[in-house]
Amino acid sequence: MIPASPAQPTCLMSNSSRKIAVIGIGNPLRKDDGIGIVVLNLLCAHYVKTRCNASLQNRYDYFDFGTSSIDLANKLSGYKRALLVDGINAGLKPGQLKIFGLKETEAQNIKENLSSTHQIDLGQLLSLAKSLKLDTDIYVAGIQVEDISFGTALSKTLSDNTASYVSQISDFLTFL
Amino acid sequence: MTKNSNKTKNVKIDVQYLTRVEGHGNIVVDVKNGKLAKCEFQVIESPRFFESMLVGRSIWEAQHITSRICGICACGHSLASVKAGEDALSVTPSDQTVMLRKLLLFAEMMDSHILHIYVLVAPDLLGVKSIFPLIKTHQSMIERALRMKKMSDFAGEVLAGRHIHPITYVIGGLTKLPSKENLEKLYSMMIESRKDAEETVRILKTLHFPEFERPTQYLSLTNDKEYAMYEGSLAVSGEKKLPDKEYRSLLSEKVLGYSSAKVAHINGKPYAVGALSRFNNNFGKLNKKAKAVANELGIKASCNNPYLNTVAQLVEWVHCLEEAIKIMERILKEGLDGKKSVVPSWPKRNETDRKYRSATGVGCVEVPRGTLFHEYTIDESGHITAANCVIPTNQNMANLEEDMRKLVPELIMGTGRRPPAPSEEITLSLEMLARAYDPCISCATHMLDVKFI
Repeated sequence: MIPASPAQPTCLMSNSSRKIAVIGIGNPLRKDDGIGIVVLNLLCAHYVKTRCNASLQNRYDYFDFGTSSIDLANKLSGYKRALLVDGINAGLKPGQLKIFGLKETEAQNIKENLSSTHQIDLGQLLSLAKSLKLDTDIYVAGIQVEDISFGTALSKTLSDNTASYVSQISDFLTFL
Repeated sequence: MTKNSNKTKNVKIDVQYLTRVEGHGNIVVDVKNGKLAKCEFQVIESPRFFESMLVGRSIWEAQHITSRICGICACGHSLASVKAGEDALSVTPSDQTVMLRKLLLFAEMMDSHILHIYVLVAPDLLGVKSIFPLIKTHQSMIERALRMKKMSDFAGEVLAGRHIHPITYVIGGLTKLPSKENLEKLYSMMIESRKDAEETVRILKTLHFPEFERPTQYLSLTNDKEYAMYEGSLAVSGEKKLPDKEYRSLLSEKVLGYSSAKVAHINGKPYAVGALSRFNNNFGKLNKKAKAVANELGIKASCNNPYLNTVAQLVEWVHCLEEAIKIMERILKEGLDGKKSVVPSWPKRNETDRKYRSATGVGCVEVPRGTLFHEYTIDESGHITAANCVIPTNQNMANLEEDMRKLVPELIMGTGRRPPAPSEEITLSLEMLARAYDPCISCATHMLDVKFI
């Protein structure tokens, strides 16, 4: 049997980067499930087009994490702050964007009411981050999905709102 | 949910949403009066939908679509897709490109295997429900798992442009070569991983895997020159060999009423693919260190205990690391030549009048869970008119059910060495058996919901 090695009161992972990780999550082959990837790509293009200030641009690292799972913990560990852009099924109005801190949602019972549509849900991610003593501030830009059946196109509801998502999220990032 | 009556020998097991597998699957077992009435592994989601998504798309687009099929075997799907595209277009990649593809496959094999060993299987062997309790009780072990995973994640970033869902590996070559700086960093991470591998072997040696034996047919690629992963002929239990392009003449697929996934048979019988099949068919081609690990862990070819697929995975992990290190040393010494590998993702503008002919191409590679086939038919405009993807988990399904059919009566009635098992033990044994195959059902949520009826 493997001898147990009790947790030490230290962070398992160090996060040295002063940058902010912007991470898109989702599967573009499942319609609205890919909204995180679509918005991530639009955000990149938006910053290239509109932000002349190089120091501001350099604040962010962008990652397409697709349908990855536990790997996310490794990536988050390298950053003080991170924003996950993800499709969520939270009982909101289809297409509604909600930006929130992952720690804040603990009181809202996110395991039942807010779940990501991917291999690791937000509740599990929170549990993992806490267990690993990850001190990254994790924020979520969650977009309520309408249709996650198989297909490569977003639903019209979400497709019509992508410019708004980019605007709201980039504003949030500016002040993060 | 499980019901078990010792007097009547009636047992009902209904595991909805088996946990710690990739995607959604159920286990349903019904024993009436001591006879097995139902024994099913039900797949709720199917990759067949991805095949229909390919139809009508350009052959040049296929890799970018199929790399999204799976979050675990994304590199394997990409490479099978690229090989199928090259076969249809009669494109031959350079030796350097093939070498880089093998390196990527080794990285993915390590990435997936270590996830399975530590995150999906270790909780069973240590008597807990998930990885989370282990973070508190076995901190150094989880740190090691994450460190090993980080190395293979970084390999994906360096080699394929993204740690998941590769973008640089395309028909004919790569769109971009990895930088020397990143390769040097990856190389040192690989060297460091040797210590973690040694410790993982030490740990696995202390764990007890269930005893169970059922000989079956083992399918994998095989190759006279190396432990086949990227290329080779098809071998069944080390004997029957034929070109991978002729896979349709070897295996037959059909859809079962209770499951949304296809199942496959060879000679009308179930067969297994994956680490244990490769190990059994190609043991002689493992490198020295991997053979030493197999010896230390007490696994020998031919092994007929499906639970030991996890042990075969660790043997393969060591093999892949050492082979990857060899390739890295060669690259760092000789460098990479862009002229031999760098190509655009799509034909250049001056090639828009490129002539296509109607053709069918097959791409086959070994991915963590077994032999993966992609087959595309294209028309005279280079668009896909038909696609077929044969996924390892589908191939293993009938074999898993056959294992369950042998295991359940043994558990209920007991064997010479083992008394009859209580309901909870039967359920756990079946869950562990399914997890041993490391099924990758689709890219979907994980849920824990075991019901006893």
